[in-house]
Amino acid sequence: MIPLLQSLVDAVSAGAIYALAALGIGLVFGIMRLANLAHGEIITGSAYTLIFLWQFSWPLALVASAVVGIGIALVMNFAVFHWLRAQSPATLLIASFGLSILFQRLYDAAFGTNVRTAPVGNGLSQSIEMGGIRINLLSVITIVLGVVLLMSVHLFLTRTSLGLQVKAASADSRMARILGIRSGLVIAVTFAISGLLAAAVAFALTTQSGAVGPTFGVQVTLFGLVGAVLGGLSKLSGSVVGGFAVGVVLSLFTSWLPPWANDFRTALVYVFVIIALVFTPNGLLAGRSKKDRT
Amino acid sequence: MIDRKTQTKSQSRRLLAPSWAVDLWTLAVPLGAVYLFTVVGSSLSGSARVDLGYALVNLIVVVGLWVFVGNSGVLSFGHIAFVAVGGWTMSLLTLDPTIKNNVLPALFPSVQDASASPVVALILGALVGGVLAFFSGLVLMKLNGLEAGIATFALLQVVVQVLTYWDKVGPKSGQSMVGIPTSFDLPAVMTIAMVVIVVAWLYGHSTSARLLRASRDDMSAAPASGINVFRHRVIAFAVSGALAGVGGALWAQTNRVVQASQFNLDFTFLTIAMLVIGGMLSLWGAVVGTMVISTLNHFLGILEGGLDLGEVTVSIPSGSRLIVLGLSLILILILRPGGITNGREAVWPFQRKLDFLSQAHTSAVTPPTAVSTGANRAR
Amino acid sequence: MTERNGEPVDESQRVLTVENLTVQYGGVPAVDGISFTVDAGELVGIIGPNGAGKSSTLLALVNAVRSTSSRLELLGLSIAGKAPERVARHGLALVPEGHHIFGELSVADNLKLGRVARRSMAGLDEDTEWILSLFPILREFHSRSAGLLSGGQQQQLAIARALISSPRLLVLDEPSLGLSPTAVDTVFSAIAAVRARGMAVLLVEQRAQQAVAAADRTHVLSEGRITMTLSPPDASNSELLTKAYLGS
Repeated sequence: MIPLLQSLVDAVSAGAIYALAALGIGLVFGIMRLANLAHGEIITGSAYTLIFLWQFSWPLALVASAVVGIGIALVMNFAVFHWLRAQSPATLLIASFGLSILFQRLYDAAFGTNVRTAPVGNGLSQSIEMGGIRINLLSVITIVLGVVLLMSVHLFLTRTSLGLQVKAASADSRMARILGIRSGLVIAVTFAISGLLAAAVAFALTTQSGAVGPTFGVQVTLFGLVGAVLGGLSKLSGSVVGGFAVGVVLSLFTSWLPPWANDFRTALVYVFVIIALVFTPNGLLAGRSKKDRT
Repeated sequence: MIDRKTQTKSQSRRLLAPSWAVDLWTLAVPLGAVYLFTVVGSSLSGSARVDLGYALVNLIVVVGLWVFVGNSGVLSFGHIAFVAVGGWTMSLLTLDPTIKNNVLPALFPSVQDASASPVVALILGALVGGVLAFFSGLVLMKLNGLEAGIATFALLQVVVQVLTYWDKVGPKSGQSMVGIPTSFDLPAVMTIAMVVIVVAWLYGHSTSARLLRASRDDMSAAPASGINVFRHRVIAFAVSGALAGVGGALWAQTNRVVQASQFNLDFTFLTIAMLVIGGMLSLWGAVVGTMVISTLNHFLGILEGGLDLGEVTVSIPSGSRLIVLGLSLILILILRPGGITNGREAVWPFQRKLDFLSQAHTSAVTPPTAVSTGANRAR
Repeated sequence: MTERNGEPVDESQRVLTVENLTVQYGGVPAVDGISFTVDAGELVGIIGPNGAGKSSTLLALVNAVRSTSSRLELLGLSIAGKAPERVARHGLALVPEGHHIFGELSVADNLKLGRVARRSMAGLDEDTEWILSLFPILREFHSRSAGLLSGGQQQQLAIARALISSPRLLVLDEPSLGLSPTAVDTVFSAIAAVRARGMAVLLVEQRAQQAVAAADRTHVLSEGRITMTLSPPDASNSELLTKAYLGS
């Protein structure tokens, strides 16, 4: 019983992390048809910040990592993606690929290929009693963080004027501009939010592993993107659900796969990805308005 | 939207040569360029010859990539999978039996005993790549755009994972196949590269490729005109996989050490960057891109080692190559998204504009100033 | 609405000046050097056969397509080459052909988006009330998802949304297209009411007769050029209208 519950909580926690990653990717895709492969490098940058500053002052580290996340996202936008706004999604994707590799190498050159460690959030890696069951505190915190952020983004999009403009620009960017919506501002705001979400993912992952290397954010971004596409990129809720599903599946695989299959765990996941894509090309939650994804 | 290029095409009638000559020109130029590239490169230095060997192998892979990506307009992040199986085939068939027994003890007996001459191994490498591509194409080629990119990437991961962990077809996880004999010297590799270019060129002139390009330029019109996009994509994918397999086989015998982890995202990025920088839509673009990047990489490699300029030693940190490559790719996409060749084949020099194999409706065309995603209705 | 700024409406105030406007698609001119003006309180119509360049003209005003002109001014300020969002904030509200409302947002949210280009929030409530009185159906469906509205209702929403921004110039591209007769009536009544308030209106219409009858003057656009300019009395001249509509 206990391992099952524990693994379920872990799965939900992993789901939350991947949902946040997928949302960050989905937001930017919605606003400018960019599948940002470099999202992982925003996560890595935030993670490095956490690692380096945690020993001095953990509140500072948290704030700084959020600032760094937002900052890197904005730099990516203004230095690269802004100039490619009119290009096809394929071009944008390749550019983000280049940016991703570029940042990875920069991190490698600056901080070395080996991982840097720090006891980030050490106090959180403990079991607590909740309702008579022992579960991992970190998992709980991750879930709470995920829920809070998801709700915040939702409220932003539905209750604020700027959020409404983001939704409009994502749905029909030409009409949005004709209505006077400043596309440059709206895009920048979206990137900033995705940077904040990336910082949250960085926090959750760093607390788990305590070690950050140049390719820290790659896996979560790849699977976050997979989740977003599977969930259907035409609606943000699709990205969130897709990301969540991928996270849960990954976690359950890690917990429950028999030892002989463990080596092929990653391969199995990717086989499922292919199957899912082939059978539901519109995404698991196909929205009413199917957006041109190519 | 009426394309400016279509307009000037009628002006380009004054070709001063029969059309078959102009057509063959688009083959002759890449071949000539590869020949020159090899001759010049091999005369520079020993390290240049080494880099040249890798450059020619990359050229084969990138040309293979063009066959699919350039003609279908669909991005593939998985081609290194075919390179991997090509390399695997070459290694397993040409490794010295004693080494094979030591490094790869757990192989299937049939694989253990199998061996072949280098040429046969090369052809088999192409076959394995092509067959794998064909069957995975049957599954994947219904997908478009981003889904196709992810699915092909997933394919790469699956193949690499299998090659890493399945010790019945390869070394144990974490270990490499070493001591692969070099059976093809530089002139031979160059010749094979030129053959690959000819094959790609011939494919590009085939009906299947033409129909595929029609679908690339207008996704909605093609099926309506009766073009079976799926079938032609599978064909392109298979041919592309076979060529990539050739590249993989030669890569194995050039590098002499093969391990699954080498067929990774960095290798994928390298080949995609070469193609895009040269010009994704044309064969000439694939060739140009590879040559330019390989040359750049060679000289960056020298700088990384430290270059003496009289009293000053100039050097850059190692790992700069990928940084420069990433920057170059981004700059090209911003400044000249069609690549160095702008998606065109080698231009017949005796007239203004010529465009045989690639009628570009893509981002090579400068977009209108203000808004991009509006419907372009001619009213 | 122009009274609200505290300044009296000057009926001879020039709102839009277009001189020598040309729009080319790949070297072929869709609009070939046309010129016209719109003053405050005026309704200017543009009619003509399909492919004549009517929509391109309107899109060029907000710079949604590339164009050249010797003069393109809104209230004296040059809008040539300015980003669409800037033109909108200057006071040009374009309602492009085909509704273009945000189907996943509610009617209320769609209307809210009209505020973005509004220069001052003063009088927003009164304006909203007045606009909803022009299009009562929107009040009824206020919190419904806009995608559930019929075509005619969506068109009304698009116009209402444009009016919320309190524009100096309202530009409509074929507002009656695909609409039921009742809806068409609502739209044309709204245009009349808007014009009575002193707003300048530029209207591209399929319904030639209705446009010519309602507008101060109507330009006939054929193959990118203005071939004639009609006035309300010409509305009953069916021969003239047919000639204009089919192109010379």
